[in-house]
Amino acid sequence: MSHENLNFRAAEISIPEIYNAAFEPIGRSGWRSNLVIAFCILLVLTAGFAFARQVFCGFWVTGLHIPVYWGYFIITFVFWIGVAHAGALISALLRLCGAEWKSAVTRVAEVITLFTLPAAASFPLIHVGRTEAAYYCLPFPNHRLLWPNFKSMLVWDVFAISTYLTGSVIFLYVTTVPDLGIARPRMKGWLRTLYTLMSWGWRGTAEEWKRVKEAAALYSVIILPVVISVHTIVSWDFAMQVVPGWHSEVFGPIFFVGALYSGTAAVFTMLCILIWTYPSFRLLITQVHFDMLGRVWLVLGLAWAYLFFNDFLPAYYAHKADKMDYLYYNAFGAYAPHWWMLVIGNFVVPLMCLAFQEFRRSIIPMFILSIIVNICMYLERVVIIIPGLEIYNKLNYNILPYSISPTEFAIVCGTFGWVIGGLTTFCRIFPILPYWELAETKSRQIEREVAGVNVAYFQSGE
Amino acid sequence: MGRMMDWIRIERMFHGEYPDIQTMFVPMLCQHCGSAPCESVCPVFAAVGTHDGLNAQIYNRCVGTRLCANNCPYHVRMYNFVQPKWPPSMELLLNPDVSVRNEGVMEKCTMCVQRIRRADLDVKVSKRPYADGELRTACVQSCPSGALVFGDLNDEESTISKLVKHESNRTYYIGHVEYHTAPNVIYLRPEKNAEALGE
Repeated sequence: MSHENLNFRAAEISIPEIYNAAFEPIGRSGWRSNLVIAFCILLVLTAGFAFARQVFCGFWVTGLHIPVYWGYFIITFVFWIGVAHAGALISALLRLCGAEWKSAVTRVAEVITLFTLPAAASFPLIHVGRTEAAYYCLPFPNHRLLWPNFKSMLVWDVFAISTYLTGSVIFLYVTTVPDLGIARPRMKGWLRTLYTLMSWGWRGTAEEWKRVKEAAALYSVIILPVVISVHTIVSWDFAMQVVPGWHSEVFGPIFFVGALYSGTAAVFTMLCILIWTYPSFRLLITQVHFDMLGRVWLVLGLAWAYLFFNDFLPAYYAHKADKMDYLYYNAFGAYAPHWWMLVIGNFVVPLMCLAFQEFRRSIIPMFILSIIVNICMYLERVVIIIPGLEIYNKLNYNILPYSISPTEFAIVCGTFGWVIGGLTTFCRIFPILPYWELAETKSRQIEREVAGVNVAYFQSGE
Repeated sequence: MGRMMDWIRIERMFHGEYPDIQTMFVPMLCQHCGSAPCESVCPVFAAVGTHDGLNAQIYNRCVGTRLCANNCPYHVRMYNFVQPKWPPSMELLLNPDVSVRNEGVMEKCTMCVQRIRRADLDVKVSKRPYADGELRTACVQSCPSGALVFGDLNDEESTISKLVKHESNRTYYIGHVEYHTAPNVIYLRPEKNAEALGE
């Protein structure tokens, strides 16, 4: 493939134009983003009210009851952790592969991590019965010399998520510093103060550039095992329990690939929204990015489908009755609509659509598809968690269907508000497209063109 | 609403095809497993095994993750969804030896740990050996037909040791084969239909 195809409209756009396009939304407000932010603040306030009511009234305001002790809080936790995975992994992977088209996509993915990971991390705190005592899970000094139980996967969760949050924030920040330093002199008012503080005296010397690039490369390598471990540990929350639908050896890879799959869908949704909100980004986010990222997405979708069905194959061949009960309960029981919807929406439809380049290059259909996959990956978590607990009932104890309560619904919606509102606000304060990486790609391309001309000149033998 | 809290309950089981249906039941309480699935998953050691074989639940330490209840094959762990409230005049009815649990913690059968500790202290203070039958849990005490027996399995002369030895063809554990929980509660098959009950 020729290099021209890999780049954005390289021939038509100069480096100052890239600057203008990337920094266009900073410090400006439009009615679209104002509306979105106001709506999101409303959602978050509603969630805060619902949570306060849950704390003061007691846990009966949720729909949970025996034997379904884990519900939509944990489902949404797993969903957000999954979306958060796309961030660091996509950007780290693309950096390490040296994909040139990555520049426009990486920071979008990292910022998604920045906002979805706190949303995910809030759920264990919301979900425990005594939120005020949740710090017992941390190893803090106390006069009884009590430690947390390091055999418990919830303690692993605490460490994995806090490591990942720290790592991904540093990863994002290190690669943002040059942009802040470059844009600082052109900013006005409080934005200038903020950029000055956050750019740590960036001057753009050769030494600083070298260090930033080294740090970005180093973090790309370091963050990969963290990413893999975090979602594997989240899957172990389930896989290491005795619940038949959950007790599965392949949950680690299923959750991991599923996280990447849904995370890529979230990146697509975000890209489409960015293009719609800030028309200047159309110069930088083009059909080429959709095409290339769509291929990654297709591969992830196929891997997810293989692992998802593979979960049941050993159970089928080994005649594992409880696991097959779980499958039949999913496929033909109360959760059949969810289950078939997720099979079609996660496997059949994306496979048929993404296989065609024409589809991958058209933006509105990709937006719709990304929404479908997001919803269906949420449903995947629903059918893993709730039916797993509902059929785990060997002793014919009385069983009631679990349904979401208004409190849970409000809190779940509140985290969606936090993520969407946070992303919109971020776009107005910081550059969501990495200017320096785009400019670097562009200048490299100019070098290559010059070199290409020279090579052609020498090869022609004149 | 599925939020009742019972520390011991009666499980019904049906065997056979209509019209030859046999109904059987077992009392289901915390089995105080030797290798308890709930203990290993608690992040804060609220569910711990004690030195004397109990599966203790420390309410002050519990943060209410409900993971232990998911992982319990017997479904005997009950989550306290509602803050317990009594009219002031009825508070004198509460057992003074047992702390009232707050909303938001996991509860279960403690094997009347307050009685065990009381018996421990009595034995220690009066400097005499523990007498068999001195200590009875509340369920043992209140069962009119004497179907429940509590005692020291390590003492070969105790009633329960003799019973288990004598009826060794009828003893069985629930859930031990599937989950390897090593329960401390031993069940006896009914004499009439020992075969029909199965595991």
